[in-house]
Amino acid sequence: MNARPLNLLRHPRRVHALAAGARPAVLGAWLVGVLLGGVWGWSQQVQMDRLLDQRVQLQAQSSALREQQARQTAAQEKAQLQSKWGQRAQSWRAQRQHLMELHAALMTQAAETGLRVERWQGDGRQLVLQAWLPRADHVPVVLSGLSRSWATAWTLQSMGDRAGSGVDVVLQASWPAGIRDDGRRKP
Amino acid sequence: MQWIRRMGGLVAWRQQRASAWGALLGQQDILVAALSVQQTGSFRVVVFEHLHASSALVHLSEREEDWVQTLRTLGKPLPKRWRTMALAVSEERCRQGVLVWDGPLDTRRLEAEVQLEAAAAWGVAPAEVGFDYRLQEAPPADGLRVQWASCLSEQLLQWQQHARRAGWRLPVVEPELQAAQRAAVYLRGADLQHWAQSPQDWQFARGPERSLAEVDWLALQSGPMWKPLVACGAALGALL
Repeated sequence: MNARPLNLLRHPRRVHALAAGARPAVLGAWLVGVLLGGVWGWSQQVQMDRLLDQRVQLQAQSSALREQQARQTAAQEKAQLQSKWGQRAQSWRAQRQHLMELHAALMTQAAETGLRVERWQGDGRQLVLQAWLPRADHVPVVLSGLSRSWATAWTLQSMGDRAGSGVDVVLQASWPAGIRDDGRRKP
Repeated sequence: MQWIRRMGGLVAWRQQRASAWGALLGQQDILVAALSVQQTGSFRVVVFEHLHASSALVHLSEREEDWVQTLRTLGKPLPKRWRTMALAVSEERCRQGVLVWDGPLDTRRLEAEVQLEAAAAWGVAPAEVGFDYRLQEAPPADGLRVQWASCLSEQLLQWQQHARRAGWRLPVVEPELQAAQRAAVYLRGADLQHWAQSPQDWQFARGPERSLAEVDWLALQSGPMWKPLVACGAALGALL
């Protein structure tokens, strides 16, 4: 029972006969297919390598462009900041100059009219001065004197008698144009 | 080449089957048997069906349709990949012979010669036979002896179509004598008188239990065990 068993479906081998007849053509087609497949695969590999190189170059260019843009932005911000600081310093100088002139005017008025400044306060828009004068008729003199040393006019806000020994006055003036700000400015 | 042998072994292991189906197609009946591998390594009959064509079915096509339905019912509980069956065909449906070949061993010429011989035995054109052949084991000095068997292609095609319609694959069609010889040689039991009468009790060994010469073929062929042996032998062919 070691002999190969018979199987009546084994012959005729139609596939074998076909293959035998068409063997050269099949082999040729297979070789052409393998060749074409190889060429196609090789071309794909070459193209992929080229595209990878291109991608690396583009990535490098993109990175350089981004760095350049970042540097330009930083330089612009720095220039804007320097400009703002310059303007602010100029404004501070002008404000200081005005305040020194006001101080000199107040010293003059104190000598001439007996003006005594008791309190003054300022914000970003105006200055308010609380003072004492020995005589009420010196108020116009003081207002005109102060207004000469200040770019804007001083005005009388209120005046009150201090029990026969002079008057209390409240004077007000706005900051001159150019040094007025929104209140954020601090020397 | 070591890895090729290892892969071959792996594939063989994958293809090791746990059960197999076989059938004998007679003129008026069909016998179906399934063998299963036991833990001991031997094979046991797990299914055996002897189906007679109903007397009400006069025409051949009606009987075949009845068998298709039966096969479909048998295969229904099985997974699709297990629905493979080897078919043994009775002597009436098969022609066999021995061809003496004294020329050089040219496979293509030998195949053509066997096909012509088989076609002549059937009295049909060569294209109308399906056949197989093998060289006999001990060739005499005066030439090669080629054993052949054949069947009509039309019938082979028809059986394959029937099997396909019933959900089965039919990769093997063999003469009944070959299947019976296989079964008789591998069947367990001391001798013919001591073999179990019922096929459900049969067990087959992995190796031959006896030689062909030890079997009384005339007694066996005329007895009731012949057809069950053929069906079981067909199934056994897929397991050995």
